[in-house]
Amino acid sequence: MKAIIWKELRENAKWAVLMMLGLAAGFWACQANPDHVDRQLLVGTTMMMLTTLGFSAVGFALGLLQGLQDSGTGRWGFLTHRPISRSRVFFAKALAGVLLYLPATALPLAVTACWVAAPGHVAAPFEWHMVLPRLADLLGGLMWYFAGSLVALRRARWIGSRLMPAGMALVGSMAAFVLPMNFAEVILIIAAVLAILIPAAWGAFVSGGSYEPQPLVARIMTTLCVGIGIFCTFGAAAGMSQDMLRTLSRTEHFQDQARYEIAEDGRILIVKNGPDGSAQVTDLKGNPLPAKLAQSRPSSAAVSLEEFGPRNPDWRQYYWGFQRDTRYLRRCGTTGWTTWYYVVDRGTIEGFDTAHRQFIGSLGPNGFVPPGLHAQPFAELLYTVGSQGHGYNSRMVAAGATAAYQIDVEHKSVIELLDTGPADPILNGDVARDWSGVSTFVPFAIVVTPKTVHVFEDGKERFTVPKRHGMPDTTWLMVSRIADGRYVFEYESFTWGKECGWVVETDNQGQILHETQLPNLPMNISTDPWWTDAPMVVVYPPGILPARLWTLAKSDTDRVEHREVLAAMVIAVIAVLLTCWRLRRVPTSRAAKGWWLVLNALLGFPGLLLLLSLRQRVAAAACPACGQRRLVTGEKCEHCHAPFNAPAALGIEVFE
Amino acid sequence: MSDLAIQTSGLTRYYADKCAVDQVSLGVPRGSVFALLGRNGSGKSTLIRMLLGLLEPTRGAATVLGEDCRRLSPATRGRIGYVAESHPLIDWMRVRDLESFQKSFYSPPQWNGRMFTAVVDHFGLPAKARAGKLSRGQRAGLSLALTLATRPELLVMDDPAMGLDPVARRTLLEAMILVTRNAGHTIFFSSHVLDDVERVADHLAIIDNSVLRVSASVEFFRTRVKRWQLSFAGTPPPLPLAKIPGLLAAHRDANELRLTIANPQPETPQVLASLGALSISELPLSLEDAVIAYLGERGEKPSLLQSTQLEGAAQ
Repeated sequence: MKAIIWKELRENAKWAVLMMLGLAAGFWACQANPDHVDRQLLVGTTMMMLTTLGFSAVGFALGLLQGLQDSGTGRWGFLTHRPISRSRVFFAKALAGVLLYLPATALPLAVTACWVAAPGHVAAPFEWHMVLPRLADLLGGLMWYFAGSLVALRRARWIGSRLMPAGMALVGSMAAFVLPMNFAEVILIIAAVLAILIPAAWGAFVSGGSYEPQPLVARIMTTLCVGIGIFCTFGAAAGMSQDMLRTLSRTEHFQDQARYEIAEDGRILIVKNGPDGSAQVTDLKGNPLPAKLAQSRPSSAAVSLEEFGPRNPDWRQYYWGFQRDTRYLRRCGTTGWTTWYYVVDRGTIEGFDTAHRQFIGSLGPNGFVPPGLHAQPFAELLYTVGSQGHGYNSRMVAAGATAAYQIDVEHKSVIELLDTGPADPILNGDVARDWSGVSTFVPFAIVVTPKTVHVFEDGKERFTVPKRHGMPDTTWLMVSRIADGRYVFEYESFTWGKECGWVVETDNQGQILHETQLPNLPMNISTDPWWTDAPMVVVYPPGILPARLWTLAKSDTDRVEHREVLAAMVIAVIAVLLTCWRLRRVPTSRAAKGWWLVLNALLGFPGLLLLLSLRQRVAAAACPACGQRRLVTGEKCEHCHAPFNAPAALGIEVFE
Repeated sequence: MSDLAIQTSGLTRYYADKCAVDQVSLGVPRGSVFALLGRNGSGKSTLIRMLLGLLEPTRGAATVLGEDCRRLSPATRGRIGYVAESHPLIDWMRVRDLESFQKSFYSPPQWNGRMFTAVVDHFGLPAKARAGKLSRGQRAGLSLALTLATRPELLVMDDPAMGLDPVARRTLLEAMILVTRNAGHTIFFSSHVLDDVERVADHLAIIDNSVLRVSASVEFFRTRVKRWQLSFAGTPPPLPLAKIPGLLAAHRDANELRLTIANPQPETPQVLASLGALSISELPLSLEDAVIAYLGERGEKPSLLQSTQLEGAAQ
């Protein structure tokens, strides 16, 4: 076994070094980009793309190379005809592959991490656990390594299903990116995918690439890998075809959209944009108004009324997922040559001089602390900081579950706006944007709790108004300061096909002047013609229909259409008939044929492709006894049970 | 323990719709040197690869050293030496690297370092030479050295002499003879070089278009294939093929007909006499000629010389 490991290491070391240099060049180019001076490389998008794609490519290429090198008839015989089991040969090769993959990927990553960790290189906070997402990508590359092995070892046509097992690694990588909330979950996902890919690759090796002679567990795993690849490939192709058809169909069905807006004088406008981009402005009664009213906007702050914290499952993965940069730090303010980050795990806001790439101090509830001292961390996770990606400025509202702060990074000050206590937790907060163009000017800020909307001016609470009830959670609240210091609170609810809500106007002390209900505004959602769904028939698994019927039975808005039910039934029947036709020439047991029929009734056409990819058609010859065509694999005719006759004698045979 | 090193029963292999090996049933006695003969594409390599478990049979069964060829255990594979067609090696490895590589799979009593050195020296292989840089003959020598050093109980070689010059071929033959010095050791090899077969083989099998036609000892085979020369006063008459059972080949010259016949019966001379020949004489037949008669096209065929003369006359 050692000899095979040594042989594999010697044979592929040059490729591993080449790949390592390629990765190192990519990482170097990433850090050399001047736009990345004040970005934390390790959790940034560019680095994430580099490691996700780069490590996957290295893993896949190594697996493929190792498999193909010994796949030729002669080499495979030379390697496997030895007094050790093929399983040991496979695992020796795999171990060598992993031993090559790990340094090829880990070395460039380690060097980059050390470079980033050294002060003076990157104007952004660094903590060693920020390496973990990249380490997760590195481990994810192992899935691609075994997918590459399987692709190389499995006997199939390159223009056919040969590449399909890569779909398993693709799904694994996507799952490892989207789902985990911590490193342990990443390991769990990768281990689960490896538990499928390794037996499949092992089965392909010990059987010389054929499907039929593989052990049962290997066949099941190969079926899974190829099946997922088929669904990915044909799903993507069908999705793109559907998008193309929809785009083509929409050129004739353009419908203009309408929306509500607040004018600077507080009037409620209905704005419609026509196909040529021109705006039509009317009041609520439909009277035309000058279009310029919609162009000048009052200062406004907008928040979603749903809970924004990690407890909200809708936002949990997006902002607090293990692979998200927002899980580690958030860029929350810039002033000239300084950039400020909220560092999630340290609970402080830290500033960096982008010219010299030096740490300049941190902000906590106790204010600014210069380098060398530790700022007091904020007691809670600040889950809404600044404008959450809508732009950067020097002042922001930062809110935790029960406390909100106004932070001014230009003047390095922190003001506690309010402390609501656990009974009325903070949902969200925002600083108003001033559309006049003075970016550092903050006219006011808002903080919203389930009961109250708090309005702040100059870091002090100006007034509160009760939050309007009876609105769905998905409602957005936009607060605008209009002429004479009055405020307009616009609750907008978007439901399918309409826009509606309430507008509450107050004076500058929070006294409600009047409330207006906004009528439903038809949004004229254009429906696509039925034939745009035709490409999806290719990948529609009829087995999904019962689940859809069950889940949509409770929905008021969505329902399963009759044509979908009909399509599912037709697909299932066609898939079963084609499966029967194909299975005539496949040598397998009755039970296995039964399983294939059930599987393809549930999976539809992708299941049929799976059958075509895995179970090879075998030759048939005319039976001399009954005349029917019989499979050449059986010892006896499946129709009349007559054995095969010996080849016709020519009278020249000499047997001793 | 069976007295057969290899036994197959109805062994069949299809590649898609093409039958490469059609119900081959043969037995290779222990201690024999068994030659497998056939034209290119007749199924020899496929048969060998099935026997070694490198290819799954479509139908039928085979045992090698008493084990099912589909499930050869590592221990049994260790008792079988295999020299593959075109001598695949790991090209970047040096001769000494390959020795270390091969040696690591065999326990010390089984690995015969002296044999390796002897064969390598015999072929004049430098220890530092890379396998990829060796000539075809040297590669064959290295393959053989790597295999013989494992003291194989059964040595399977797939066309080991392919592309070798006469000197390398002779060296290879000597090495094969070396193996058979050990009683009970078996050699099963395929070849196109009939001269070599005649020198070393004591059993042979002939596969013709995927069907096994001959499996016998060389001596027995010689007794079952005969050649007659028939002389006529003028042009020999057309042959009534159906009346001459076992006819392998017929060569026509100006007023002579040479017939090669398998399994001649006591009445065969009378059948030939009925063709109206002036004289009938039995010619000596070499093993090479006998095998070529099997591998060539059946029935009557003018010699190439006669064909060219006829063509010249027509022009």
